Amino acid sequence: MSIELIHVSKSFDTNPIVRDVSVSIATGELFVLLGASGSGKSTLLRLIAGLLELDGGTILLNDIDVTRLSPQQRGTGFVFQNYSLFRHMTVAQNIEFGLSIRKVKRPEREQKVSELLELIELQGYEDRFPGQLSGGQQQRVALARALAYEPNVLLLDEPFGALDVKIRVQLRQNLRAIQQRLGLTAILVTHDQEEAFDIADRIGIIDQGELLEVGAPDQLYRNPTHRFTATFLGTANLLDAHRNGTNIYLGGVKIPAPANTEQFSGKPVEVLARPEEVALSRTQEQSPGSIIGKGIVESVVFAGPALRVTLHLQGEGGKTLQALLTPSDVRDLDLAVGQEVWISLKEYHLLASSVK
Amino acid sequence: MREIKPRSPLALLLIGIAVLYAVVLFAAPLVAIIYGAFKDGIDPIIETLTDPAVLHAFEVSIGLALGAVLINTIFGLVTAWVLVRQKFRGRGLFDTLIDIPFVFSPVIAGYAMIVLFGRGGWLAPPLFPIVFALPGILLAKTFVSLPFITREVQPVLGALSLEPEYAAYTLGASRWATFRRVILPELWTALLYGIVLTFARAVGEFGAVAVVGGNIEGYTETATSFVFRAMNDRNSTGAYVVSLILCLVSLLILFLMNLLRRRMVVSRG
Amino acid sequence: MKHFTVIAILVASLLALLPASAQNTPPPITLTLAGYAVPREAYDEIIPLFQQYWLAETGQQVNILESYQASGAQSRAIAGGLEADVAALSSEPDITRLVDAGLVNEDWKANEFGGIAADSLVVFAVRPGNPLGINDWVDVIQDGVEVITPDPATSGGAQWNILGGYGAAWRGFVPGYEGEEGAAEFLRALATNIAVLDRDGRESFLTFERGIGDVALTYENEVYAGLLAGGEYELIYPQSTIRIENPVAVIDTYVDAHGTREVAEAFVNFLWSEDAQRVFANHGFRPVNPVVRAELGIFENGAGAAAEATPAAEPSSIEHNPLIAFPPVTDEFTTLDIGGWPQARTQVFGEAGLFTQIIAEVQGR
Repeated sequence: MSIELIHVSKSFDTNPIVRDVSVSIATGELFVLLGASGSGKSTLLRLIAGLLELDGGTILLNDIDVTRLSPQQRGTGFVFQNYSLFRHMTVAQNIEFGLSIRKVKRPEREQKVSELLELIELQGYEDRFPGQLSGGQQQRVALARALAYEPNVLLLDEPFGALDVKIRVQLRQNLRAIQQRLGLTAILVTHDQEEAFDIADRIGIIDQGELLEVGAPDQLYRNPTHRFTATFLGTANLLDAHRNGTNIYLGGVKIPAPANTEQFSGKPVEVLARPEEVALSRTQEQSPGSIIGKGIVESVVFAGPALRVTLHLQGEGGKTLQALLTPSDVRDLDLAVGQEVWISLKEYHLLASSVK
Repeated sequence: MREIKPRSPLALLLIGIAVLYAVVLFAAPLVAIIYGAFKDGIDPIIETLTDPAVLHAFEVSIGLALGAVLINTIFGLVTAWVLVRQKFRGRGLFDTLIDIPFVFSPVIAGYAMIVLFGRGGWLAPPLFPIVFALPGILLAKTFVSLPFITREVQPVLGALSLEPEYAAYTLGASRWATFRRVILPELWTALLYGIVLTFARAVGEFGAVAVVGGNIEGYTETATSFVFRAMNDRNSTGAYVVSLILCLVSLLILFLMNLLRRRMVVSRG
Repeated sequence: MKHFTVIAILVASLLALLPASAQNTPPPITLTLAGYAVPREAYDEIIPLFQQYWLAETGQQVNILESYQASGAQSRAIAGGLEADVAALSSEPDITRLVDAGLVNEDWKANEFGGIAADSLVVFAVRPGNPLGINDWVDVIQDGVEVITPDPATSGGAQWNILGGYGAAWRGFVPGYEGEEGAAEFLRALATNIAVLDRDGRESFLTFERGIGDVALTYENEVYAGLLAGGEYELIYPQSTIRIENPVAVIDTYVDAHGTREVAEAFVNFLWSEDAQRVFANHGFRPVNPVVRAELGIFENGAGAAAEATPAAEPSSIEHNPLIAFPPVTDEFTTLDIGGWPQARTQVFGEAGLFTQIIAEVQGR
């Protein structure tokens, strides 16, 4: 394991910011810590780098306990949201900073700088100052600077947060390519789920200082264990239900229980269905999934490649549901606001109920 | 490029007031000093500038002002650092106290030093004299010019992001290397500006220095004390010549400061 | 870089603190003279004479550092640690302060001249042609006359000026203000007319030179110094005035610490030599050495030339400046005639003193 956190905790004054976090990250893995602002994800990253001292727990980097080591001794590469380049140094001086601190000879440094400039595609920018570069260029230099002395792990704190959407997408793919080519172990902190899905090998969901769950992007999206994960990643339709025998009872409606959900037997549960898993039909017979009842179309909104339909589920509770339909589906159904349709679920998942 | 626009009478009036104010307060005394220095021809000027007491007074003024700059650079940086980066009980009070030399009468400060370091004082030095000797003058100059560097550096340091510093740590730089290679270059302009102000204040100080030094000619007499003494000795040419040189030093400092300010605006832009 | 000089002087003065070693050619010695502001020009001439004298006598070079400020301020500085070897101040109380501080032995006056280096008189300087007709103390206190005199709180000279008028009134030379009570009334009238109170005697007189005020209360020597420098005003002698006695003393504690007692005492004694006294006379001070007094025709109240037995003067290279004369006044009195300094110090200038209160009253108005 390249990075191992064991029961890591940190408080500021009396406010716990990171609560008992344990996770192992494999060599060559790109791990994304995903959470809202104030969730403690940046603090966790700084704890790993040694920029903050932890209150409890252990941190191992490449199987070495670094808990008591200074940031200088840990050898992590850190990339900050605001680039944090040294403004008075040229691009080349920035990149070779870690090398010159380590008294690496000049020819070797120059060699490394030119390699890295090639890697980040900024050849010829050696003598520019950070102020003369765009945000994206600066962030690439910051990455090169962090990579120059070949760090044990790369830590990225919202590295694309200050950039335009277009550049953000391009840059994170560059980052992913570089990370895979060099076989780097990296932790990237972000609040942007799209970014997390785009580049992560695994994602860790962090909320109020707690690492709720860790998993591959699709697994976390489709089959989360926590309600927070379900709602934080994409849009979630959540319906209160009860599992009994091989069925799930949604009020008076009965649908079959998904496989491997026996642990919820006889318990209140929540049924999670993503909008793309919700199907609509004119008649009961035409429905492609398990029918949960009838609903009224409240709105149909254009959402790029798909249309977002908001429905009001009739019956007790009167829940509002979101469905994502293709334009052809909408055309075939001839949907209009106020119209009554049958609602069925093509796929669904169970979560432990949040209602006690 | 100059833009020529018709001006309103009010604007003209304000320009007139501003110019008059500057002329009365600044240009007129300067002209008087220049006139005073040159009115008896070049001989008394040469005589003044070759007088060992005058040369010594300039040495004391400038040498000890440089000493004050050195001391205040080190302690000013430390103080600014502590005020910006450290949280401790009484920091607000400490922050306020830094300005005491600005509001304290230098003469009173001088007397306070005599009480402290003079004969029978609480801190009367056992080995070498402080008051009525060069160390006392250094102390007085240091005291009166103490706040400048702290006050110049403090806001810049406070506005500085911690992240480049953190980046340097993760890149392996020690605290000292980080300070020298990452933080200091950011503070450089403000620090230079503070140094210039400190020097100007330290060179120009009269009250505290006169009290603490005792005006011993050829020993603790400074250029400003010489001016005062020369006026009393009816040696007005000497007083004017030395004043003129002090003025020229001030003007030089002023231009230097403007230059730095422009650099600061550009780099902060 | 000239910092070497600064260092050299530092080293030299540190060396001066060490006891003089007994060698065949003694190393140079440094003496610090702390004076009041006015006699500076006289000392500038006397010091080279002394240096020649000391070199001839002992083969030793003596460097003399000089500091001049208002007498009271200088006295306080010495008490506060200005380690001067010799103090030349403008009035006895400023030396008494050093005695009280344990710096000067109580017997400092125990010599032929009573510890007084030179005398002067309190006189008036008025505008050319004396437009207001100020000829005596009574004219000074007329309504609307602007008087310039330094502040007795800082200036020893100022105390002389005030005591001059006070004594003249007490002794009956100011019609309408006779006796002790009259003298107090006189001070009140005088205080009302004071336009500017400067820090020291020289500053005060320069204020007058710059055209402020109608009459400056000052010392005879100060007026002469101004006149020699081309000043345009007239010197007026009142009928009755006080003899200013400028004391000089070796500062025992400091000379013992510096090992400079011998040269310091020699310097003080040299001030009473005929040549030094002639230099004082050329700067408007009344000499105290009887030989030089006789030479210049200065005699005590009414005493004739024949009455004073004076030894013959030795030939001197210092010629008397003929512009400077020391005419007698009708009533030349000393502090002893009005109760002595300790009494004047408390009754007139102390915190509860007469003049202190009057000034506070008048300025508070």
